[in-house]
Amino acid sequence: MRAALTVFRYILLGDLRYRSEFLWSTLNPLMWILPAILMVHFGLGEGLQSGPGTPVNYVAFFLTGAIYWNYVEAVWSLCFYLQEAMEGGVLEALWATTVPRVALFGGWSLSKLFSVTLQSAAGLVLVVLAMVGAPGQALAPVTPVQAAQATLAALASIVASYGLAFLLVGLSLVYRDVESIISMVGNAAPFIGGMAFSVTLLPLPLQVISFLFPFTWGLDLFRGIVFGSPTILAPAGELTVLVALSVFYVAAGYLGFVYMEKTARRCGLVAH
Amino acid sequence: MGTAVRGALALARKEMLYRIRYPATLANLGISPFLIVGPYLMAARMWGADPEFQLKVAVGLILWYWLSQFFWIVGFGLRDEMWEGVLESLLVVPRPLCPLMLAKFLDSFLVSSYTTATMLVWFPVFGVPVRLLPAQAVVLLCTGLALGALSVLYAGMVLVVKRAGAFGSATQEAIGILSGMTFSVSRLPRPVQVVSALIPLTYAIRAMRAVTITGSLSAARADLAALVGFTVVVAPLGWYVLNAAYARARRQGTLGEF
Repeated sequence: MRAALTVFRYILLGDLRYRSEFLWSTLNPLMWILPAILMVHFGLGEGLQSGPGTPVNYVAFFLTGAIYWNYVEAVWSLCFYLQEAMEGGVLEALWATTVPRVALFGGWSLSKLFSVTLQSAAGLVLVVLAMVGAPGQALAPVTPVQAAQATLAALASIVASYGLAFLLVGLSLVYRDVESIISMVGNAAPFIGGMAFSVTLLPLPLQVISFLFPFTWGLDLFRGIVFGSPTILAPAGELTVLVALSVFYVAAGYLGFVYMEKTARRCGLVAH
Repeated sequence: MGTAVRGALALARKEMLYRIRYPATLANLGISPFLIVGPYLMAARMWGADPEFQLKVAVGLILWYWLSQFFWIVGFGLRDEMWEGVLESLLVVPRPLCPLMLAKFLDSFLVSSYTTATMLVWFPVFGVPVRLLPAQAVVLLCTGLALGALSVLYAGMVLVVKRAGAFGSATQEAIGILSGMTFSVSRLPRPVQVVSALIPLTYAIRAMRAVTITGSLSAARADLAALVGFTVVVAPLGWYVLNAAYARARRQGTLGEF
């Protein structure tokens, strides 16, 4: 725990050392949605009271998706810390310490999750304003059970992200240049995970792929509970699928990481 | 000058060899750009945009991706060499910035051309129409020169502040929005249009849309002239800023670290 907190503090200090970099990142969710919002408003002359495939205000719908992906990416990005440590020539030293790997990963990712929480605050305020200010819309009243479901959906999504992150870290150790694969996964996920629109509007082959991602279910369920938007399955069914996929992803990812880390150490690949 | 060009060609070749050495990089460059611009195109389709509007959005997004490549490779590229610890070694030759930046420009141009070609394969798969014309190459050349000049300015900033990645991302997005990558800038409020008029990507997108729709370069003559004019003014300015940043970093001893 102490090790994880030390790593957490060390990464956070590094991030805060470059304050302008930190502050500019707060604009990320807004910058993602603006081209689409302006296209719909100026280009197509449409109102934004509802989005394609959803009756929810499109600004709130898309912005929630963008913030959700910021969190998912925050966990994935721990493989970038590993790559930085590899390029900076300090990975072998880190690996030789008695710090458990899980503590290292926990510290790396928690610092990023903390940063993303600070950076998402403005976006969340905008979501609320978009819903409250939109005619005929409001945030759906949430019961304690629904609140628990929404929390569980968010947590399960983050747990599933760790599964993918473990796998990508393992791949980085063995195959070195996996930045491209990470980048592809990172770019594909928002597209087929329904950040900008409901995945039910995707072509069928892409829908099948999107249903294999836990994040698709997590985001759909979260929006369904918070905004009352239509979900792919009944909320209880979606939650079951999400939890099952998260358990599978984290177990498979961790086992994959352990195997690939052993391979990297056996082959002398940790330092270069 | 001949030495600088030879040096630039050697460095650009090295970057190409790196990419060929790691096929996953080439695959990523062939797939990721569409995945990044895809949500906007899909959103346009889902909101009921007609094929011509989809084509215009596709053109805007392709050229915005050119800006992104130039920003990362020409502008932010120096930070990569700094991180790898080779920037100081690369800059110990006489007049070192010339071959290095020229190589990055060539690399950006080749990578952007490659990503454009692959996006043109993806678009029809998702039902977005594509129209290829020789005149579009002229627009791309003018666009590359103007964006290269703008990116040199950003490179100067990277040399000074070192970590300017988030700023670079936000600036690219803002430039894309102000240039009308997903709509026509004529729909923007007047004061915002004044800002748009200062951005080369605005002219590039308008020129490419005009050439693609009409099939003739003459429809884009004014915008192409604006792009050339921008290059002529901003290239020397960017070069001056970059050299000033380089001299400052040398004076402060921060060229190789941050």
